[in-house]
Amino acid sequence: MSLIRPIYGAFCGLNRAARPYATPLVVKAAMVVTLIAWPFGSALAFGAYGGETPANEFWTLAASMALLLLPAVALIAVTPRQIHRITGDRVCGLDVFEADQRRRAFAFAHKVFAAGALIGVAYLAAASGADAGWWTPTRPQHWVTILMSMAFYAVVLPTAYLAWTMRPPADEDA
Amino acid sequence: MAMVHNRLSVLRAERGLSRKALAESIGVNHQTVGYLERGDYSPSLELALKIARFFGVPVEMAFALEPFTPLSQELIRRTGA
Repeated sequence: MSLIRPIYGAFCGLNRAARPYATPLVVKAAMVVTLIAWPFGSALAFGAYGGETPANEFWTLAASMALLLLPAVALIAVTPRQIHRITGDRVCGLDVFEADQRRRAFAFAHKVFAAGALIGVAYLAAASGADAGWWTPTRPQHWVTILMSMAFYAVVLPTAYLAWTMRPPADEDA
Repeated sequence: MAMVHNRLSVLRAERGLSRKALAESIGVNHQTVGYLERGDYSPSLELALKIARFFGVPVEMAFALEPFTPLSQELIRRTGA
């Protein structure tokens, strides 16, 4: 660690590269599309994996893939912006203000994740305990989709938090 | 959390500095200076001291817990006009 830190530090300075700022509306719209399209796409994918006929499975899977691609396109609009750089860049590339925003965004995402995990566990406990006929993940593809969604939301939630809480920079800096 | 008021825009304008120039001098990104000036962000003690040192003023002259009196009013009061 004592060897790695100086080497790492030598390549990491404050990131002052030009960072165009998207309007708040564009950022918020991209985040809404990202957060909504992904679960819908995942839900459709679940349906596809359980499809009764190959044709049904193909079209459902195609629709789900289209829905899962939408967030990727929306993220392209946000990724190079300051708002995503704050959550995605290395900490050493941020100044004190940005580091503080990042800490708030990650704290929010952590709370949402903890709540989501709790709800998921409660649901699975209820679904497996009672004979209510509730859906439970049974195939490896189900678990792949669930885990992919978790990874995706881990990336997007902090940025989404900033999209709603951070005011755009002053005109001179936009 | 109490808001920290500042005179950054006045101090910067007096010296004819852009936000970018000030930001480079105190080691932050230029957008952060905008957030500081608007009062969206209360600086850390270290950053406040760096800013005060850069402008060559006591820290309480750049930052305060109460709103600053506008400089024009301050001048009128001092000159008794």
